[in-house]
Amino acid sequence: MGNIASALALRSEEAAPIAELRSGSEEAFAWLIERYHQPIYSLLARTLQDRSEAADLTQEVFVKVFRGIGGFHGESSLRTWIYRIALREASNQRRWWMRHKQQEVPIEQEIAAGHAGNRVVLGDTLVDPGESPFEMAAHAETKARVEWALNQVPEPYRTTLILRDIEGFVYEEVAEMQGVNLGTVKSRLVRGRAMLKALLTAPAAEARSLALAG
Amino acid sequence: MNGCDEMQAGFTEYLDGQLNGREMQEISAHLNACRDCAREWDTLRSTKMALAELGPVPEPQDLLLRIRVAVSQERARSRRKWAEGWTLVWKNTVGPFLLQASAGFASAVLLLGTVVVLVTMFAQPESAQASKDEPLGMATGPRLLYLSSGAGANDIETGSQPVVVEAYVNDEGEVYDYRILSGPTDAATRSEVENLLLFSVFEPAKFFGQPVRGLAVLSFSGVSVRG
Repeated sequence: MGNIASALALRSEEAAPIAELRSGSEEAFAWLIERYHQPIYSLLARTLQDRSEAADLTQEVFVKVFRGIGGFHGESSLRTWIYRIALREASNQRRWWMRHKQQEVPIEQEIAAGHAGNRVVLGDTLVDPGESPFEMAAHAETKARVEWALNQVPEPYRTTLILRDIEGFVYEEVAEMQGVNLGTVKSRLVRGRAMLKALLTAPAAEARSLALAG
Repeated sequence: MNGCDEMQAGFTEYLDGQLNGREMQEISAHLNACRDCAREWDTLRSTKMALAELGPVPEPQDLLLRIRVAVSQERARSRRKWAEGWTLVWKNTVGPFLLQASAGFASAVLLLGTVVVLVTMFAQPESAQASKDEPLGMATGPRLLYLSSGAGANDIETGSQPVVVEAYVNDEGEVYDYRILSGPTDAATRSEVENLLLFSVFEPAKFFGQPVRGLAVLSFSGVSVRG
């Protein structure tokens, strides 16, 4: 119900920009870049290990969008198409990483550049069993912890969580973006959320071994 | 315990609004009755909220600029490739190019920046009868509408020498080839001429309202009227 309405709204909102993009309009591309660069960068920053790689890849995604727009005929929404390109680039990058950089990534490695001196380890924070993860997340310093936990969730669960819970896309669009069926999306969410919850609520030592095992 | 497992299996979809009314009611009723499930549900819900609270990753300051530059470079690269395709197009479209013989040609003088269209001619479609009595008013040469902002300005840096260019315009108003009639023919000048012509938009020549191929002679950085 709400899904169809929002899907239709998206299509009509995209119709004019798509036509202009295909004709090479610079203003239309500027609009596209303005609108999508931050969420695409966010997605890539969280799914890849390296923030500067994410920036390079974001650039590459938009170049590919520019090259490919001539062949885009509205088979999916523009937004889905762009995210598909981003996810494909990210997965290629990860594969390249695994082939060429075999070294272990230590668990304590910081993901957020800004938190250099601020290594948040689960055991260090006072875990009140009565406090829900939401209450904890309400505190600014625990955002780093949630970010860390998300980073420990392996792919493809991590990306599924990002698309559903952070970007807020509906199941159907997540399925289209990842190129899987609805059932797969659902099971990835179940498992991804379970892993995240376990990482957030377990005490430190257990969390580390969970992360290593995942 | 079995009933709880079943209920909890539906939690994810319940959380994402993917269940129908009846299913939602079942779960909701169960949550009111079962403390364990209620706690499990609450944890799941707050995990999701914790994620939603994260928001976007702060982007590097120059990211937007870098993307724009990368796309511009790509745009420039594809324009160059387009220019390389010209020789092929010229061989395929030059064909018989019939000009109305009788009374000279329709001339148009247009000043756009420093570009002047000196002369325009049109090609009579092969199906039409060639007739010396055909009034010229029924036919028009290609009209330069505008030079869209592509690389560079409307002026060509040719020093004191003007450049006269013969541009071949197809029936869709696109320049498909050109010849430099006078002026420098070095690589730099040709490249600037090509750039300008790539982004020239013409209204095609018309023969009784039907778009046909045509020709326009353009002079850059100079004013001349002929015709």
